[in-house]
Amino acid sequence: MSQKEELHLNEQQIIQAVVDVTDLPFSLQDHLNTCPMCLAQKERFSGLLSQLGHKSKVLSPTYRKRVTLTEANGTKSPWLWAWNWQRLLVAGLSCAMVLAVLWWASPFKIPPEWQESKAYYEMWEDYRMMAEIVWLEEHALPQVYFDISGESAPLISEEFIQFLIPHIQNDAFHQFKTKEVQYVV
Amino acid sequence: MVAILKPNRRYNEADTSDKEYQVANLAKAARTGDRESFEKLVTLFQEKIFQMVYYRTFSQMDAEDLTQEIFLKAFRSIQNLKEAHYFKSWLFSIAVNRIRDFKRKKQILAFVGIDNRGQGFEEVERKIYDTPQADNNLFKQEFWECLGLFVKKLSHWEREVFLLRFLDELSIREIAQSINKSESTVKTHLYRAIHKFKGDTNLVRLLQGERR
Ligand SMILES: [Zn+2]
Repeated sequence: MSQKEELHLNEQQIIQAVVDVTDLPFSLQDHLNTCPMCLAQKERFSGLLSQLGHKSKVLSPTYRKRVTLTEANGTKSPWLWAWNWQRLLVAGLSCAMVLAVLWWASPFKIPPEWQESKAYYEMWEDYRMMAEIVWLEEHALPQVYFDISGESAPLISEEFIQFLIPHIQNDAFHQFKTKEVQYVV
Repeated sequence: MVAILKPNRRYNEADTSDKEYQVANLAKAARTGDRESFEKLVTLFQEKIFQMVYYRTFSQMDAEDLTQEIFLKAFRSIQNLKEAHYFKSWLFSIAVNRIRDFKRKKQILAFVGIDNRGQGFEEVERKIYDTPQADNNLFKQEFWECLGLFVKKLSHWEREVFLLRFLDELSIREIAQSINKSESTVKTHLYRAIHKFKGDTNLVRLLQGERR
């Protein structure tokens, strides 16, 4: 008795027996055929599944039409016709979206003329930056120094200073220049 | 005691083989272009195919339209049927594929917002409440609701195999042919589905006669 109890089918084996009893090992098949308890358990479970099938049949509606083997206009529901153009529309929109994404992600999307103008722009930027550097080099001192030195005063030109303080060696230099010119001639 | 507990056969095996023989003969004739034979096959299977579609769409209108389409497709391609005695599996494979296409289209249309017709259990529920014998249909509503919740828990193949086995009452071999899978694969899916069924206390209680 105790040996028989040990051999009772477990839940998995009962399910396996419901799926296909021949998949069980022979020893368990033999047990199932001789043990009323296991057999009852299996039958109860099979019965439940049979009842599910039976109830589904009973509770489902009855077929009101009869199949016709000719493709009459009325056999296809209008919604299927609608489906055809809707399918085309959906397919077209999907293609357009895919193309748009591909174009957006493509590294070749910038036309060559755009690339040329971009190069010109970069060159101009470089030139502008160099000009700025040169200006800074030439105007390295703050404005106050220019004010002190008088360079920024518009009235004090070089001509005015020459008028105020004439060059001492001016005549001698002039004479020398004249001589030199005569010598060359 | 043992004799009492022997499984009750739900159908007579001799009758089944007679029917299978009859179906094979009709399919053989239909394959050669015999329209009358095909019409007899339609008579034999139209209710079964309609119910099969209904279990997967829960819509009478869709099930009727699809049943018509499935038979029309079968009629057009009956010459492609290699073995006449596999007619039932072949017809069910057409139905399985047609329903899958239908559901895909419906999902796409629902996604893009074109199809907003009621589908699934909401529609079943509405139809049941619309009928004059609403009280009598409470069990019906509860049953489809429980079944719907249960099949939602199954994976695609578990659901297909479970429905084909216990609602459409196909054999393991017929299911394997219908869904183009090996018998061992079918058994694996079936085992998992039954295991989940056992754990669905709502559906089991309902079938045992206990209301939720
Ligand atoms: Zn036992």
